[in-house]
Parts: sequence; structure tokens; C-alpha cells
Amino acid sequence: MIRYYSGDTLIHKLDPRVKIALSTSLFLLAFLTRDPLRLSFLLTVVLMIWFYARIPFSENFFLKTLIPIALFTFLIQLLFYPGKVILVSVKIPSWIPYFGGMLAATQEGLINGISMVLRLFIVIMVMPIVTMTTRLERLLNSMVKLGLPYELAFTLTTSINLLSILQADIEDVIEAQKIRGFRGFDERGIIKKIKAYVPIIIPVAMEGFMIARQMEVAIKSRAFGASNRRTSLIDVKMDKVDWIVLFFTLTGTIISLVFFLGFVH
Amino acid sequence: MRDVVKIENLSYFYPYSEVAVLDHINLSIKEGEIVVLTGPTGSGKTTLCLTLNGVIPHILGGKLDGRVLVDGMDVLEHDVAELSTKVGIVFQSPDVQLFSSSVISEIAFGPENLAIPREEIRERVSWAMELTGLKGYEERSPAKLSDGEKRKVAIASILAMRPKIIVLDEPTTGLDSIEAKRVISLIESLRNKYRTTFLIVEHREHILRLADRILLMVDGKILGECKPRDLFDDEKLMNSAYIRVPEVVKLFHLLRKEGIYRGRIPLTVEEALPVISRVPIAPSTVKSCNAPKDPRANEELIRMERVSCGYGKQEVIKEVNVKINKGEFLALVGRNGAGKTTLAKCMVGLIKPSNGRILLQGRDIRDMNIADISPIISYIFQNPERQFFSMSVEEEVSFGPRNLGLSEEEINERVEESLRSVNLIHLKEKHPRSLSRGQMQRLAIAIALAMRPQAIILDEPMTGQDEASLRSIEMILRKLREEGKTILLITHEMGLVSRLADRVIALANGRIVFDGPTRKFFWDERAVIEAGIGFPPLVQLLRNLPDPSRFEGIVTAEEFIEAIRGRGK
Repeated sequence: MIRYYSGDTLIHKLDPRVKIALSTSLFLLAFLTRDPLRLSFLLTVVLMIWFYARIPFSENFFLKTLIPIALFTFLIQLLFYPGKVILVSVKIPSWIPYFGGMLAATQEGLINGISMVLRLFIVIMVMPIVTMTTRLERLLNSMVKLGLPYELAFTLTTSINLLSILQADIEDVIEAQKIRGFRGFDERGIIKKIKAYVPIIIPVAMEGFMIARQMEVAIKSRAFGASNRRTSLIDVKMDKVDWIVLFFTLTGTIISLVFFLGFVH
Repeated sequence: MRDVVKIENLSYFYPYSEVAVLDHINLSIKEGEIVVLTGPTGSGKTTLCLTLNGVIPHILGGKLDGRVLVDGMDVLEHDVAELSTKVGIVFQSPDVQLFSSSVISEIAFGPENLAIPREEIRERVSWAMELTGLKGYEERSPAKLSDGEKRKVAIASILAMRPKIIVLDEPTTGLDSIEAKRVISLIESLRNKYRTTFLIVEHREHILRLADRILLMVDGKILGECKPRDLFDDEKLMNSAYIRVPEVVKLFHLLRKEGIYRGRIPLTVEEALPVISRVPIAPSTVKSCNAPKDPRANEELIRMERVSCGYGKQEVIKEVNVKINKGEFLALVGRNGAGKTTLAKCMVGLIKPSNGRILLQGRDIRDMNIADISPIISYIFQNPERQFFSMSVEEEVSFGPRNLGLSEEEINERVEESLRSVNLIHLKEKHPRSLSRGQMQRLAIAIALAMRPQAIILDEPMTGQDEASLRSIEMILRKLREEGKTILLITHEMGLVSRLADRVIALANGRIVFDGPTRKFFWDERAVIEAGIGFPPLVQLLRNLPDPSRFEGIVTAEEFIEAIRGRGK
């Protein structure tokens, strides 16, 4: 959910800082209200940006991870939220504490459940608006412009890179074990699966240290840290469009704030 | 001309080590010179290179005695960043030196660090891309490029820093012959146009030929130096320096021994042409070499019918039909990215075909688990060292047989036997990743043998090996061939193909462009061009002689000599 996908939309071209402002606003607003209607409005904005920027939906992630989590959250809220207006109820033995002999779905629980699910989707889907539409270099650059030391920003992005190399390594070792007749990865039980993966971790970690060391040599050989004033080929600059989007983001946020915090009804 | 590199009495010890990796080295390199450093692996060549930009000792530590001067700067007194404008190193493994998300930012990284004005960086980047033929790759992600392309990006990223001296560590390893030629002409044009100085670690002849001087390094010492011409003129010297004798050079040495030729040994096909046309070869009496090697059993092992496969939606292999019989020795050739590895992985079940079917001894592999395939075909990955995971050589080899559920006794027997056949039994207690590259490749073969498979697929086993290991791996392959094992060899080494393989399958863009006897392949102009591998130099030479058809089928120097010996018989 963080990989960059190339594209040519306004969102892709925006200054990353504007995107960070936009997504941070959406993120914060989502925590300032519990009203399902307002949250739906925010999610609609997020979804519109996703569709407009053609950010690819990872079916695997949404179907297998996010939706089960959302359902679970919803059920917990629905059944355990201390509400008063009972919609449906089931009798349960009274010796189970807390429930008082009844498992009930309340109206407050329903509303709160919906809110929580909406909020979950907003929170999860807000970050990709920045990461999946921005090249790592541009992101790094704007983080530096926002005050993060270059060395730190570079280390962060390089670590992400190293992780993907190690992931490829793990896949290699798994393939190597499979073609030597190992069946552990096809086993069903979770314990057996863990047992299969554990022995891989040590050699891959060793490989990781070695690669990191060699990378350090290569990076320093290319004059890393030579000068405090580092030029950057990609210049992140605020264009007219960026200012306009930023203006709308800020005014939109302020107007929403006024509505959300209940100054106007 | 002034010296841009001056090394005086240099000795070096890695941290916590008493062994001198570099032992009293003295070396001067003049501006614009191309110096090639050769010698067996572990002789300290790469270590020597790393002293030039101060990585040794500034980053890797250790104890350094003596002096290294680069363009007048003492490396001990300047840090790596300062020295990077003088010396650029292109490392052996392309993966560790590419860490950006686009080609353009990768190349710009060095100049950016040097705080060069943006406009100039832009110029430098486009200049470097132009020279390396990377135009159009600007926004591609380096991690997703082919090996050859990665190597070009690595070179371009060094060029953009405009160093006076460029160090290349085995720059053509793993490249097909066309990519390798590009690297070679790049080196030549940089030297001629910009007087760039080169120090190149390499043992393959196409690079050695470029050298103004060749240095032989063994056990941390420079044993001697010579000109390429003198090296190739002296068979003993080539052997003791662990250098493969190029086929054309070998031909003239053989002609010399036969008493047919007396002059100097030509180094290239162009040089050899006028010379060979003066060698008396009676045109009508050349013995035909077209007799096939020993016929083998016609028992089918693998059959692929209209197989397409690839990664995700991208189809790499397109409608391939192959039939492989037991006991065949096949070479799978083609350019980088032609689909050789994909085809091999498809055969062992690592990649599922999207179309068509694969039969293994008559069984559809769709009904088989990878583990069921493993005792029938063993696949040896390219870069096997990345796939070892055990604590000892012995354990590593026993992993496969153990998965087959064999008895402890049988497992031990197989481990012993396979380690013996690759001559590694004395190292069975060692950690697999502590072995040398050559030993690792042999270990990979032992792992495959321990499964006692019908067929073995070797994916570029010769990549990155020094001459001594090349010879021992070739011997092992020869032995397996005699034992009647079915072998599928993926390689760029056409010399090896011509010496070992009975049959060649050539792939280009995922399709088979040739499938037939080896000697026919190298003489089939259309096939060789379509496969994009380039004619082996010897064949190229013979094809340029008058009436070349009389040599058809000859692929090695020995065969040529045998053919002309046939005179008068």
C-alpha cells in the first residue's frame, strides 16, 4: 500500500507538501467527528481522489485484510457499545457477566459501528494518496524541505529499498527449498508454517547485513555526505496549481471544522 | 605522461586478520592507460581497487601500510567523498550499487552530493545516458531492469561524476555477447575521447585484449605484467595466469604445433583473416565432421506442448514446444531477458504455465507438487550462494534427501557420494556461505546430485567464476555427460556449448528460434542472428575463408586441426 504507481493526473503532479497537507487535513477531520454523514462525506472525498488519480485497489489487501477488520470492528461496536435504544436482542444465560442476560444491538452501537468503519477506511486510504502517487525521490525531497535532515530521509527511503531486496531473497530461498522437495510451505497449520519460515530468517538476515554493508560502500563511493549544500536534480516547487489546491484544502478544512465542531447546524 | 595512480609498497590487513591481503604492491598507472588486473579469485584484486577511493581503510577499516596516491592526493589524507571525484568504482554486483527509484535519479545521485549546479547535473545525466545507450530509460526503476541494463546504469552513475579514473570490477560478468561488446566499445571511446584511465578486474579475453598492460595478481602480490600480445603468444603463460585461451588463439597455437604456421599469434578475427588465408589447407580434402555424437536412448523425459508462461499478466514464454529425451546434453542459449530462466523454472514447476501443458515422464505436471518433481529434475539457480540456508555444507546437501524421506543411512551415503563427485568432501563441516564462488557452484551441483535426479538444469553456472573454477566445473559437466545424465545448460559461454552440448535450443523474445544439433546451430546464419548471440570467433573466421561450406560443422579449434589432418588419408 505504499508503492508508487506512475500516472499523469493533477494529484501526481502536485507538490508532495500539498498532498501531505491535504491528506493530513482529511485524517484529522476524520477524528473530529463521529457523525456517519460527515464521515461519509470525507470518505467520498477520499474515494474521489482515489478514482481520479487511478490509484490501484489491491484486492488482496481490501478483501482479505481491511474488510475482515472492518466487519470485526463493526460487530464489536454494535454489540458492546453501551447504548439505550435496543434494536434487536438475544437472551443469553445470565451467569455470563457484563451483559445482564441479554446480547443486544443498540441504535447507538449501530451508528458508532458505522462511524468506526468509515473512519477506518478514511485513515487507511489517506496515506496512499501521498505515497502511491509520489515518486520516492520527490517525497524525500519535500520531506527535506519540510525540515527533515537529508541523511535521515535518505536512510529511510534506502531502508525501504533494502527491504524489497530482502523480500526477493526470502522468495529465492523458499524456491530453493521447494525444488529440493520441501513441502513445509504448503502445510496448513499456522505452527507448521512458522516452523517452515523460521530457518530462512537467519541466512536472509545475514545476507541483509552483507548487502547493507556493500550498499554503504557504494553509496559513500558516490560522494554521499560530501557537502552540506546538496543540489537536488528534482526541484520540488510550489506552482500556481499547488497554491490553488492548497488554498482550497485549507478553506475546505476550515469550513468543515466549523461544521464538524458544531458551530453551525 | 604523468602517473594518475601511484601505489608504493602497499600492504593491507583486514580487521582482525593477520594475513596480508595485499602484500608490498608497487604500481603506477599513466593517464589514459587501460590496465587489466587478472588472477584467481581471492588474490586481492577487488581489495586493491577499494584502496583507490579510500573505501579501504576509511570505511572497511583494517591496517594499511605504504602509500596510495590518486591524482596526487594521498588516500589516507582525504575522505571517500573527496576521492570520488577522482576515482569512480563500478562494483561487481549491480544490485548493491543501485538504490534509487528511477534511472535518472540514480545517475544524478553522485553529482547531487557534490553540490553541482542543477543545470550541469542535467547535462551530465543526459551525457552519461547518451554514452551508455540508456536514453528512454529515464523513469524506469533500476531494480526492475535486466542485469545488462543494471550494469549500464551503474556505469552511467559513475560517469556522471566525471572521475579521472574508472575502476571496473568484472564489468562483463553475466552479459550476453552483444551487451558485452557495448561495454567494451564504451571503454574504448571514453579512453579515446576523454583520456579516462581504466583499471579493470577481468579474466576474459575480450577485455584482456583492450589492455595496454595486463597485471597478474596472485596471493596479494603482483607477480608480473605483460602486453596482451605477449600473453596470448605464450600458452604456458596463459595457463599459469589462469586465463582461458580464446578459440582463435588456440587454433593458431595448434597450427604452430603442427608446423603449419610460424608467425605471431593473431588476437582477433580481423587480424587472423589475412593470416589464415595463407595457411595451406587443401580445399577438397577436409574431412567432414558432421557425424553426430553417440546416439542415445530414445526415452522421452520432458515434453512441452504449446507452453506459454510468465509473471502475472506478462507472458515471457510464448507457445513453446520442446521434447527432451533421456541422456541428452542440451544448451539453452539466447540473450539476457530472452526467457531462458523462465522456461527452466516452468519445467520444474516454480512457474505455472498459463497455457499448454508440460509432461514429465508422461505425467502432466499440473497434477504434481514441486516436491514430486524434485527427484526427477533438479534445477540449479543462477547465483546459488543466495539460496544456501544451512549451517554446514553437509547439512545443506542432506536437506533434499531428507525431504524425500530416506533413511539416515541412505542420506549419509548420498551426501558423501555427491560431495565426493564435486570434490568438496574435505569441506563438509564448513559454512556454505564461507566458501569461494567456485566451491559454492560445485556445492550447488552436489545438492542437485544428492536428489539423484534424471535431469539437471544448470542456470549460468559459469557466471563470475575464475578460470580454475571454470575448468573444474567443465570437468564435472563432462563427467555427468559420460554418466548419461540428462543436462540442460543455460549459458552465454558459447565455447562451452560447442565443446559439450549435443543439441542447442535458442530462445529469442520467448520463442524458440532454433532447436537442433550444436554444430548445425553455429553455422546457421539465420539462427545465430535471430538468437542474438553472435558467431563464435572461430566460426566467424572459417566463414570468411574462401568456400566456407567445406568447414561446415566445425566449432572447435581441435576439430579444425583434425579436419586438416585428414589430408592425404
